[in-house]
Amino acid sequence: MMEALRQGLQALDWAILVYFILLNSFYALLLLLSFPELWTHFQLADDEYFARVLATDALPPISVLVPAYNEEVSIASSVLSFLTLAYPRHEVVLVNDGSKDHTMDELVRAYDLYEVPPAIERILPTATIRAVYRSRTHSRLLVIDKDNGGKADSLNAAINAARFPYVIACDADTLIEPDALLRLARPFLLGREIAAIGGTIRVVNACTVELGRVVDARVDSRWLPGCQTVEYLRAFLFGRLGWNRIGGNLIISGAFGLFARKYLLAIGGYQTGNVTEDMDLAVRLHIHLREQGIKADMPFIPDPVAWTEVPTSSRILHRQRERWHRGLIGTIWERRRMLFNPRYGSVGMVALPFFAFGEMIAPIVELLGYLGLILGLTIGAVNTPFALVFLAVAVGYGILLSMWAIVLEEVTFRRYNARRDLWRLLFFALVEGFGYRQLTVYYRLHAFWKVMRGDRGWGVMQREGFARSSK
Amino acid sequence: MSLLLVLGVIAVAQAVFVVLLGIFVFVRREKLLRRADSVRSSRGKLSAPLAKWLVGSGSADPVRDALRAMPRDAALVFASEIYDTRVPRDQHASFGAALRGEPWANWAIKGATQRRWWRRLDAARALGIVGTRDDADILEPLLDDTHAAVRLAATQALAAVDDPELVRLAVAHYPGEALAVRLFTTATLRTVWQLAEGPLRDCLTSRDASGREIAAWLALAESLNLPSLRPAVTALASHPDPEARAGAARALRRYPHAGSVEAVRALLDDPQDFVRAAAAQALGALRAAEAEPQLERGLSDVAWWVRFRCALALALLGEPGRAALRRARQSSDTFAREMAVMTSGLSEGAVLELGDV
Repeated sequence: MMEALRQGLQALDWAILVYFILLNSFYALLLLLSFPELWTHFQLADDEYFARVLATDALPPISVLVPAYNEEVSIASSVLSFLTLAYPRHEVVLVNDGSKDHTMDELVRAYDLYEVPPAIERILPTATIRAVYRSRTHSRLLVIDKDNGGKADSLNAAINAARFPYVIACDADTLIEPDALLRLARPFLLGREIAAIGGTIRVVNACTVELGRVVDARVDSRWLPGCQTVEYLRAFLFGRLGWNRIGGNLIISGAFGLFARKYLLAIGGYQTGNVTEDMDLAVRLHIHLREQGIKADMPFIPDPVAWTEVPTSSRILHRQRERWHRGLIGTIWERRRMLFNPRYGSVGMVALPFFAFGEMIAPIVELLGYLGLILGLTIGAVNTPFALVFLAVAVGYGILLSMWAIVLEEVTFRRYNARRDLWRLLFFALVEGFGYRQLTVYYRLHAFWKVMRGDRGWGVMQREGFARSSK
Repeated sequence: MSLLLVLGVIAVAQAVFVVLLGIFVFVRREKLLRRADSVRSSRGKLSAPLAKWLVGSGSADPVRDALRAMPRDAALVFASEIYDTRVPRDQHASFGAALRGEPWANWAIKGATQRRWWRRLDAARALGIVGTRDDADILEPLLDDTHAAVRLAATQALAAVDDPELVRLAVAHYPGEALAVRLFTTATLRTVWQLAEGPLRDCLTSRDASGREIAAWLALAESLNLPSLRPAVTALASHPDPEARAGAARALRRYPHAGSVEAVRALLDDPQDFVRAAAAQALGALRAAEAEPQLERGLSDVAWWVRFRCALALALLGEPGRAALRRARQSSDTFAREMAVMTSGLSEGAVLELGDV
């Protein structure tokens, strides 16, 4: 019996070792692929000449779509920050998603809204639209007041109403840098046919915010937001850039992503039942482009930045990560026919399998690893020095990837100017693997439990607001 | 070698690598700060001679000397910035002549044949400042470069190189470019409109071109707004391809003339809705009061965009148009009534903005 258990544990060890080598080799590949990609973007992003080219009228008009729910405190300043983005031609389509507070009253007061006939083509089905408003003071603002239907439903209503060929989906509480739209539109100048473009999301928690703009980027000294700052850098600076080269970018962030309206309409807009609408949308766009034989890109660009607040309490982080993972599981399960299907090119053969076997089941493998280690040490089936060295390599590899992300940030965009922030980034890169990583593994495991129970809720994402850091 | 030893070596190598990366980050930060200080100081030395040159009271030579003292890449960036300032064209030309042969300019131009696209981009940018007609051979392949950023910069260099054949080439390539690239090329061709006029007229009257190509050249004609092109543009209002007809309607709004209004009014009865919408927009921009009855009828068009454009056009016609909208607000036709209500609430600025006038 004991011998069988011992052999079983050794087999598990080998399986985990092979999984570890394969997964981390792929991460290393993504890292290598991100170098030329990042360099190319860096050449254009910091080029003052190109910045002046972007400031001409040689860019397509864009509709900024903003779903809002119970945002009465910040809605007026949020809308103003969207209206004053540096871009030659853009409109803001705000959708009040049946807010229970005074969001609508605040908008009417701040922007002198007047009701107009709801002359909007209902291409995508949405909850009932109560009224449509235009502003007497800002002709580029359109406000739709509708029954509550969720974020995806609000975005669909905004897509219906958008009059420009490209739309940007934003959260009302996301702070977009003034030149982010210009930077996001760079692929248009390069003559590419675009289906979607993703920008970078960064952590705003400790930053100084003035009039809806981040004026001083800082790294939060607290453990949870600090670790998330490094995590976001890693995810955006080499994860998604690496995927650009493979052609399988599966996530265009829901808080800041640009889409060609015609393709959104073609796939029926956002799915209202999905808890992570952004990944689902990107996958459906890939399917549409492949099935229709359309040669359009979905690149990620690192320099356009939107700032978002990340959870500072483990309770809220738990909800967020559990929901994200539940969305990942749901999307992969729904699209399982694409797995290893050559018809879907790199998305079916590489990206989706990676997300299924690398990202989705990783917490299960990690849990098995921890359990096997404890059990093996208890019954003496595991060589203790080997286990410790293996653990050191696993944690060390995570630190190395985080360090690379910081190096990439430092040689390119350098948003964090103070030396103190650089120290903090390095510190959190070192400590992230001890505690924070295990915490997120637990949250993601909880997602499997919820999926098995059939839970489809969003949970409440409470935010601290920018008041602490704002002037 | 045992697996344990291999893992041990990997763990040590990782630790060393992490430490090296940490050192690299800080060393690089210090180096960048020092370079930024140096460039700031060079820029400071540039400001006084630049200010004199900008107001036309100093020669370009001291500016050249200050640029020479900078790192090559920084000199190119500053020279491009200076070249973009709004000064008379002959002042630009003398600036370019003064900088011709400078080491940083030669270094940049040598990059025209390099494999790395950003070196070719630098070459195109340098040609935009110091280029002459003698550089046409260097510029020609850059106009057809595989990287759009290089093509954009090369297009800007057309003004400096001032070569009729290259401008003809840029006009011919125009419809093949992406929309955004075309729009930027348009801005550049405006500066060499004398050279672009002939090739564009030839293209507009070409019998072999497709409707899509014609529409692209019409957009260019709209932007260049050269009176000599009006007959060719007007003739295209009766082109068999609807894209060309819509393009003609859009272009004619920049050519206020009785002939333009007549041609566009005919397009308001076009079978294609996007052509009718473009015609309504053009009639508003041309302030064609004589088209008021047709535009009023357009408020009941089956297509939303045509109704919207007709309403905005009426709002732009002054009192006759406003009166038509007031009548429509009382109309029994729901389409006309709703559109009139929507546009009646708009301020004049909003009408101009929404009407894309």
